[in-house]
Amino acid sequence: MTCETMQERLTARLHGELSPTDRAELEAHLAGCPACAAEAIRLAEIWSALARPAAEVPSARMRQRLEQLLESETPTAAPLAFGARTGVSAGAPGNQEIGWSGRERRWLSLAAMLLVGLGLGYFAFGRRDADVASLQREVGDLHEMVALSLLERSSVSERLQGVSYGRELSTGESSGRVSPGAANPKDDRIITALFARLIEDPSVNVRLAALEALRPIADRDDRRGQLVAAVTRQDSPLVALSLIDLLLESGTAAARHDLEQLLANDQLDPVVRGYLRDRLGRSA
Amino acid sequence: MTPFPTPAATSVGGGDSQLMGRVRDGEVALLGELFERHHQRLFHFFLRLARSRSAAEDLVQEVFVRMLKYRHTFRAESEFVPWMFTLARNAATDLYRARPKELPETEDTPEPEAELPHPVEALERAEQARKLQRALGRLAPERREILVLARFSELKYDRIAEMLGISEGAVKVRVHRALKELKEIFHADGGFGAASLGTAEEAG
Repeated sequence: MTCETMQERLTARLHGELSPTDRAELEAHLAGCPACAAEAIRLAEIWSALARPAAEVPSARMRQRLEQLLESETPTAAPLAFGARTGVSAGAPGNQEIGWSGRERRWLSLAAMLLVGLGLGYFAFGRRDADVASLQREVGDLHEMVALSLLERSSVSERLQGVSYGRELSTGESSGRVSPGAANPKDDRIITALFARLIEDPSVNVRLAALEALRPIADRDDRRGQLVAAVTRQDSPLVALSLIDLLLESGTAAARHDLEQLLANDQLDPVVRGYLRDRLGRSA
Repeated sequence: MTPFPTPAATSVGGGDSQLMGRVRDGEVALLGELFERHHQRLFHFFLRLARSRSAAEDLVQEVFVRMLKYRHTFRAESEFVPWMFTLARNAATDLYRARPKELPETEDTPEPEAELPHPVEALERAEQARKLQRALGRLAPERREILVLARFSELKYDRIAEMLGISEGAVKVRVHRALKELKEIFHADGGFGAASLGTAEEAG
């Protein structure tokens, strides 16, 4: 056995993958070979140093980011059961409020009160269309103000909340006052703000959440161009690939045509280009 | 010594694969438990591969984003840790393609370590950590990757071989060559200096 073979076994031993026979041979060799014995110590030192975590510990921010990710994944599900070390079977409704400032809380309380008032008024005095419509507008305005404010905040978790709120507004999920895909100036303001997050946000999570929030309008002719353009402006292949999926899933021939045009763009990331080519080929 | 003890799988119950199966089937909140069990190991894995602490944190986050996005690809009979490290490798590869500056550079100095008990020891260890990171930066990317993967994933050679699509023998040889080269670069840069690490306990 050569020293080189024995030294390979040193590494295998450090990795915990040496059979008893090989180990016995190695130890016999080390006993008679000072050079390999010295090498054994040096390799063990570096192997150990490699795993030493220094004093770096991941920041608590990471856990919060995951919570936000999970919340954005399940916006309408039961309260999330993310529990740090306490077990995930217990609900943690407090998570829903992460990152909300006093100002937004007050706006939301006001919006909630208006909604309650709306319902009470309806039952107590019968329907008065003009009043109901007026209250609905006020509630809608508050929703929009909160969403737009959150979308501009410096904290990732607040922007994610803003995206979630913006999604409700742009699709009418919360109030049913807007039919999905319908265009009006207020929704357009939210959609424009969501596009800004999709393109400019430094956090991949916020970009992905904005992308999901924009899904209901992916088939709109007046917005498709922005979605296609957003593909070329992503430094994260994950977001670019998700955008391609979104556009193809919108099912319009125009989206497909625009994506085919994109293949001619020589600025396109090679990974994204490869994926796009595959997707276009597969769905042909 | 294992690099990082894996927390006992007791707080929720069930192995990693079982939990991931439930995430795949719709209980996405259970990803939080998998995060608790594995994020530190992933973080230190990426610290050795990436240039900065923030890049390492972003990459950990990216792995969990991908777990959600690709959860339907997880098979009940699969093992979770190899699957997680496959996602981790892909996340790192994608980041480097998109932002090559995130690769460790030979002259790069990592962020200072946090406080250690004794200032002199802290300085020595910080210097060693910088040297080691520099040495890692000088390894070819493939060598750095296989070495860090072997050290941090705690996967056996056969599983790493499967992940990388090479033979088990090739893994054994490549991990050894990478470790040996790292050691040579590290010692050429002054090695551990006067400080004694007394870390040969793993050789036994």
